[in-house]
Amino acid sequence: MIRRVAAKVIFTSCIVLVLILLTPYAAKSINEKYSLASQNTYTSLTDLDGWKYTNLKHNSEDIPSITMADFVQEGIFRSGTERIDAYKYVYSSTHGGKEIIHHRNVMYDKKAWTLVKKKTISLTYNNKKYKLSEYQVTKGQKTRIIRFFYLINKRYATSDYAVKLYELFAKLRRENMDSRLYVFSMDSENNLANTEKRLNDLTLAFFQHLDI
Amino acid sequence: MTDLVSPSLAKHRKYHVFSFMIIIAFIFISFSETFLSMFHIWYTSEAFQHGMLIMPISLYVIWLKRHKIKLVSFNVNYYGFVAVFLLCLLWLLGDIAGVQLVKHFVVMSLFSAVVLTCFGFSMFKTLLFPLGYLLLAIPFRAPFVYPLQQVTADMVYFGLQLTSIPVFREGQLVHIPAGTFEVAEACSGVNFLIAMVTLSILFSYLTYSSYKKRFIFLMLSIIVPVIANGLRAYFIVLAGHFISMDVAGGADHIIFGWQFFGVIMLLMFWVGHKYADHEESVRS
Repeated sequence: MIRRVAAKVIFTSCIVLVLILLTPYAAKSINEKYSLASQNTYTSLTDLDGWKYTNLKHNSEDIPSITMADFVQEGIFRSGTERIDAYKYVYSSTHGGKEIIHHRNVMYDKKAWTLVKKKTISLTYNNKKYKLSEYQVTKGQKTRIIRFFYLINKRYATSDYAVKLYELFAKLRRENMDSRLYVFSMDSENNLANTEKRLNDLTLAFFQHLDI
Repeated sequence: MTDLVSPSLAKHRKYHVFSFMIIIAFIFISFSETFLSMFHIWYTSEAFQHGMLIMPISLYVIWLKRHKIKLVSFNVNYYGFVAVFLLCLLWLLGDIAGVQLVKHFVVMSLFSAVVLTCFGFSMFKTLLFPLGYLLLAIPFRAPFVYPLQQVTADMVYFGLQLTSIPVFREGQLVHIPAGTFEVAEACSGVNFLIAMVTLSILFSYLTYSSYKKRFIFLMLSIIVPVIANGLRAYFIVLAGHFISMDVAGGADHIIFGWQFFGVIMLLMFWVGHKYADHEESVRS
């Protein structure tokens, strides 16, 4: 009786042990395989309908704090006297801090700017609704609207959870990782409604360029 | 008590306990990276320092149940094995997607699954509270911060209007004639809320036998800190209005916050203790 019980206990424990030992090993080999396969082709921020784009290094206090990206592009879109700052970050990894959703990655320098509001807005493009995350931040008398969205292997996303899910699906489908974050920000000259409108115009023009 | 367990039963128990210890040791070794990342958050984040106490508290509650544990019969349970398998799969997905939260959840849940596998359902049921309590060690707060900031700003704004102090609200900024206040992340009260809920779950488990009382106390442990935090923020703005902005905005307001929360916490437990059930009924 005791032998039978012992055999049952030991057998089950051994299977559990194998599972526990194999899991991290399996994860490691899957992750290594995919990061080796990752070869990104980067399309750039460029001129859009009604907007002229120029690459430009921004003041470090004004840029989003996004770390360890494989590719960064920053510049400005101009339309007449109006200017919108634009940023693009590309990641080909989902690990070790080299990942698009990470607690270190924030859309504004928290030491310099104060968050006033955050909300999600909707834009209709090609009869489809797209959501965008929007932050309103201030620094002294200055007010800025920041908008951002993600493209994970060409899948559009705004929430962190959706990004993580799409990254997981991409890996399980053995696709090369191409996680992108696009950020547009514009200073509001005491006219928030106009700032939001101009950001809408640029975003819609950009959607056309991305062909999403 | 020990007389109730026959020598043959005691011998077969040894196999269960030995297997359990080996598996637990290997969980710590295999998932060391996940445990270390959780420990790093406990150690570095003010909001989750209580995480370090969760395991010792769970062990203490298990020790309190030692007499009951001696009476429980041990069996291998295959549902537990299925749970281990599913948790390992979830950890794998969490690792591929790079989601620490999922990995933290898995390693803390593995203890329950292994208890179920090695000792059976009776033991799992007996240890349900200390095993479930381990989940409170998982560092998770991000979704609550912004809504709590909003609630705090709403309460401050409402309070100032009620007391006829001129106020203009712009999102999380509250402007009064004396100056502007930001309801920052630190003002959301999320740290206090997490600490309060963690302690209240333990308190209500050890103090009450009725599920109704436990539920009411737990609900109060969520509602009271949120209201208390709103009042604290309101008092700070009042101090800015009536005394000076330096007093209201200085480091003192954080110290005042913790003292205020300490008093609220003591009051909650003092009142809660008045309705305590008899120790015997709680133990059973």
